[in-house]
Amino acid sequence: MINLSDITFAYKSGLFNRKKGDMLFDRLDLQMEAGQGQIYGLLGKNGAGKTTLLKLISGLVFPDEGTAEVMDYTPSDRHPGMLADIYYVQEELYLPEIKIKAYEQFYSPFYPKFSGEQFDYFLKEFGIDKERKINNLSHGQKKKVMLSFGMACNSRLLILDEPTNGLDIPSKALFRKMIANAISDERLFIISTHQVKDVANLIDPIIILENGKVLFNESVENISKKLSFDLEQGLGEPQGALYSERIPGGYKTVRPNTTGRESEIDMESLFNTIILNQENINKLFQKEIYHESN
Amino acid sequence: MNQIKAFDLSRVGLLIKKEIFYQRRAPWIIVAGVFVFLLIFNLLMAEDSDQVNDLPGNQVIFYVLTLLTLGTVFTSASFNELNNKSSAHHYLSIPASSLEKLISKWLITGIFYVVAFNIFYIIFWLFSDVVTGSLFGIKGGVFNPFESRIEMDLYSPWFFSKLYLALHTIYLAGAVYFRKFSYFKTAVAQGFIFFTLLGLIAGIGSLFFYDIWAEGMHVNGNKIGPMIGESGGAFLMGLGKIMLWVVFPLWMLTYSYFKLKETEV
Repeated sequence: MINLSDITFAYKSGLFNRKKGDMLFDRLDLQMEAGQGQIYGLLGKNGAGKTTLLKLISGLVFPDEGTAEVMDYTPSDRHPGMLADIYYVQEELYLPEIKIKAYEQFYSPFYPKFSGEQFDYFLKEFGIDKERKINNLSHGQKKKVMLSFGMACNSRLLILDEPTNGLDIPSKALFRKMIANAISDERLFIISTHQVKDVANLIDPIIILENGKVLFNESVENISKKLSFDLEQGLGEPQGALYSERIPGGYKTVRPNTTGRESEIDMESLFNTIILNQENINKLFQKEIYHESN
Repeated sequence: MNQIKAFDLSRVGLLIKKEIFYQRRAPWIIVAGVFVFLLIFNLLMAEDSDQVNDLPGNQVIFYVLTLLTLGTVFTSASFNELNNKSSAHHYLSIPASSLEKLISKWLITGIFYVVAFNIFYIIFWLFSDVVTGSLFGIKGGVFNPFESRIEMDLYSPWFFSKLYLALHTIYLAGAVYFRKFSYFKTAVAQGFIFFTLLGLIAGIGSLFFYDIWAEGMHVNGNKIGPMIGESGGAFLMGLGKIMLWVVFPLWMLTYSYFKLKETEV
């Protein structure tokens, strides 16, 4: 569904947009497939290139070199067929100053698979009145409108950039429920977030970007097989852990899984482990791939 | 794949419908303001006995000024969505091709604007005529945009509508190119390009062809020319018309299309 190959990208500036800034992506390769209701989690530090990657996929910025293919389209062509099958909820929302029902009236015809019933249902679940003007809504409410619209578009690719920012606690649970219900074998969702706890049980596989490279791209199943996440009592620093973090009464630890017992993944610990132990993590996962392939 | 066509007139219609809905408030405020301003100005002219005879002529002057000024300002604001990242993201993500988006903007700022403006001006002049008639007993006559007011056809109101349709493509290109202060930047760029081109053409032309144009030339003992005469003038006029009505607008629209197509967030 998404195939990025040898992508290089740098933001441009200057009078004629010709001056290139620092290289953000240098020979980036990434493939994403729909198939079993995949919700890709895209994680990374600030400035790692998460939002830019999403914009590359949706044709909003163009690669300097390399090839990008999304649902058999070249994103930079911005073919209406591709745009109608992508819905991208951006972090910083822009919405026109009209009523929600007018927004639906004027934008839904562009999306052939849009369902008015679903839109009404999602809005009702979020407690938003369709008669309200969008500019009178809070940031969280606007996000709910866009999430509802995005899900009701039934596009094959749904891109959510920091979807839980601004959502209240009950709405976060509702959001997870809706996303879990909306995903299907034909669809692929990408969630880019720093709020990993909000989407911890949704995202699989997990992609971590660092310095414009894909540092990690593994399924939850594989992660659970290879890594063990524990809470260890006591005040002494845990020995042999890939990562440990002091918490009241003990430590959160991440270790290579030597027992075969699968533990619940702590996303924050996973992220920190991968960022801090790139070499060990690479060896651990590559070793397993080697064994699996033999 | 590709079940959705790259170009579909129905999507152009949807874009226009959306655009008209968005614009439904702001233009009314501007239209009311212009209406009142023109009415006051017209009444002042009608009150001044020296100016009474000029009322029909004023129709054309007001018409040209408001048509071109309002139209170019309106056109310059036509791609305001591209002014900031969030709204550009929203606009560029709308499932329509760059060509469809450009055509919808061109129709709204060009054809629709000219039709709406002419209707507005006819209504204005009818109203103004009733007011000046009842207050001062002066009748300016009904405004007809197709009428040749001054003997030369060139200066009929309709000529300026056509001129606007050709020139507004510059402001459309400026609206796509400039992110901020598009109107002023386009006006400055337009003036700069116009005078530079004029200077270049005149300079190169006079260097190489002045003698032929002005004096004519001898071929096998026969004098040909001078080319600047009736036939030369007609030729240049014809060329100028083709440039103005066809080549220049198409050039600007083509530029706008590619610029919009390569616009990134």
